[in-house]
Amino acid sequence: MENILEVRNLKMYYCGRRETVRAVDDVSFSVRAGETFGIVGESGCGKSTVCRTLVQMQPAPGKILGGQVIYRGKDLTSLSEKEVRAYRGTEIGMIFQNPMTSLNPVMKIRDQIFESLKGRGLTKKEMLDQAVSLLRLVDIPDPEKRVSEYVHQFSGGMRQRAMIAITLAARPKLLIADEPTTALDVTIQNQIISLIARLKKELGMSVIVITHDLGVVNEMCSRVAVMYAGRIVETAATRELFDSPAHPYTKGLIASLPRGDGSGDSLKPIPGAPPSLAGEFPGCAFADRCPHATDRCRTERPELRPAGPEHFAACHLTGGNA
Amino acid sequence: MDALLHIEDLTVAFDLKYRITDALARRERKKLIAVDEVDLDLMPGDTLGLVGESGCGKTSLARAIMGLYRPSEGRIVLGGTDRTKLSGSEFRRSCGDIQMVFQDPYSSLNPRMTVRQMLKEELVKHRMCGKSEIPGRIRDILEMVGLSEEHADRYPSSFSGGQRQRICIARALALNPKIIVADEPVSALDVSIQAQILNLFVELQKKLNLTILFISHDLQVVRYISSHVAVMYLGRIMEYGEAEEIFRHPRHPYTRILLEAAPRMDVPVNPDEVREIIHGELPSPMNLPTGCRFHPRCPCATELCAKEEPLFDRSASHRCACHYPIMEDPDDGQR
Repeated sequence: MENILEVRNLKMYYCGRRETVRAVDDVSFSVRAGETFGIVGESGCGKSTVCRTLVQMQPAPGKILGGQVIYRGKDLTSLSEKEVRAYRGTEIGMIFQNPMTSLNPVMKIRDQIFESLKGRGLTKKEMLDQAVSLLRLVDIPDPEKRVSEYVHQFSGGMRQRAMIAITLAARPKLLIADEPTTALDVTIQNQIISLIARLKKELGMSVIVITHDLGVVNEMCSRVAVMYAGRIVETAATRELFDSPAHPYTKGLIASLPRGDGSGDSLKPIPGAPPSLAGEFPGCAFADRCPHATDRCRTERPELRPAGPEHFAACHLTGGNA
Repeated sequence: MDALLHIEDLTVAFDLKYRITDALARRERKKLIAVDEVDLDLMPGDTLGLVGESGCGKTSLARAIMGLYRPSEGRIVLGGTDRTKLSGSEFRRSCGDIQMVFQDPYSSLNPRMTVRQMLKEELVKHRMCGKSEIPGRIRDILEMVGLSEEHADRYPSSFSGGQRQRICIARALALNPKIIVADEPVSALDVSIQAQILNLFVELQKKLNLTILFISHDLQVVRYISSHVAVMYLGRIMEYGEAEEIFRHPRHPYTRILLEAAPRMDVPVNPDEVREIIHGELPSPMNLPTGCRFHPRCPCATELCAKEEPLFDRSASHRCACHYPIMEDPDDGQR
C-alpha cells in the first residue's frame, strides 16, 4: 500500500530564551492510504505536538529544526506559511479533544460549516443542503432543525459529531483525531469510534488517532506508534504490539493497566515520572525508569531497530543482543 | 455482618430556576432529581465501586454521603446515627469518619499551603493528637502514602499529579476515617501513574482495614479494585452485586452494554469493522422517561418497560432492576 504521509526525522524544538524544550525529537513514521494509524503516549510526550507540527501549527517559540513531512509526494516543511494553508483543513483535517473550546460559541453550526464550504462557488441554498447532509452523515438527529442551532444546545457527543461534520465539509484525505473520545462517556465513546470507522470507509480517508488510551488504539488502529519524551520508542501493528511488546516502556504501560480478566493480580506501575523535556538526554529517555537499563542506555541513544515483522523498537536490548 | 454505612431511600433533588414569568404563568416549580431513592450498604472493609455515565448522579450521591448536599429524603446511617439528622456541631465532630478524595488533584489542594500546614490544620482542628505528637503523626501519614518527610515543607505546585493525589489521600487519612469516598481519584492521571495510586488504595485498605466507596467511569479500574459494584443510571441503581459476578454475568442490559462499549486492549478487534453497540444519549434528568429509565435506549425493551418501573429486590445478593434480566450469558468466560 502506498503511503499518504511520511514523516522523516522530524525535529521541533521550543527555543526559549533560557532553555530548549525538545518536544518532537527525531520522529519518523508513515501512514498508509486508507489505514488508521495510532499515536499513543502519556500527557506531555509530544503526541499532539507532532501532529500540529505536520501542518506547521506548532505554538509560538516552536521551530522545525530538521526533517521532512512528505504528504502525497510533497514536503510540507519546505512550504511557506501561505502555501501550507492550502493543506490545513482541506487536505489534512483535524478534530480535537474538547469540542466546546474548538467550536465557536456565537456562530450557528450552519455558519461554521459554511466557512469550510466557502470558495467552492456554491449558492447559499446549496451550502445549506450540504450542511444538512453533513449533519445527517454524522448521525445527528433532526439535522434540518439542528443545523441552525448553537453549540451550547448540543450534548457532548453531538458536539463531537458536529465538529467531525465541520472538518469533513472540506473533504480532507487525512483526518487527524486528537483524543477524539477522551472527554466522553463509554457509550458515546463507542458511538464516535464507530462513526469514525464508518466515515473512513465511506469517504476513503486515512486517519491518525492520537490517544493515551490503549483500549481506543485496539478498537481503532491497524498500526500504532508509542511515544515517550518526544520520541517514538516503538512502532508495530496493533495486535503485534499488545501481544509481544518489545520496548520496556510499552511493556510497562501494558502491565500497569488492569486486565479485563478479573484475575486481581496486582498492577505493576512504572516507577517514577516522565522526564522534563527541557533536559538533554544523551542516552535513552526512559533509562531512569527502566528496570533493565545499562550504562550504554544512559550514554548512547538507541535507534529504532527491527523487533519483528514491521515491528521496530528503540531499545538497545531488543534485536540480536537481547 | 452489619453494614458500616447504611443508605436508605436516599433522594437528592435540586430546585431549578423559577423565574417570575414562570410564576405569572402559574407553572409548577420543577426539580432535578439527581439521586432517586437509592439503597446501598457498605460492609466494613469492603470496596464498593460505583459506575455510571456522567450525569447519572454518582457524584451527587457521594457528596450527599459526605454531607456536602442535604438530601431531600432518606437516611444515611453510620454506626447507628443518622447523619442527615445531626446538628451543625455534631456533624462537624463526626465528619472525620468519612473523608473524600477528589478527582482533580490540581484544584483540590490549596496552592498557598505546604503539605505540613494542610495536615497540621486538620490534626489541630479535629483535636486528633497533642501538639507534641503532630510532627511524628505527619511523618507517619506521609510514609503511609509513599511520601517522605522531606516533602512536607513543599507547596503543591512542586509535585506531579500522582504525588498530589498521594497528598490528597494523606489528607483524607489524617483523621483516621472509617470510610473513604474516592470520586474518580485516578481519572486525571496518566496510565503509569494511575496504577501507582490504585495499588496504594489496595495496600492502604489492607493495612488500615478501610472501607472505600470508589466512584469511577472506568470499568476495568472498578473491576480491579472493588469487591462489590453498583451500576447507576439517571439517579437509580440499576444493578448491584459482587464485582466478579457483575462482570462475568451482567443481568441488566445497561450493565452489559457498558461492558461491551468500553474499549479494551485484551481482545483482538478488527479496527475496520463498525461496531456500534448503543444508540442515543442519556436523557435529561429533568424529563425522565416513563417506566424503566433505560427503556428508550434498551435493545430488549417492550411495552411493559415503557409503562412500569421495574422493582429492585432489596434482599438478593445480586440485584437488578429490570423486567427482563439476562439470566444466561452465552459468551461466558470471554469477558
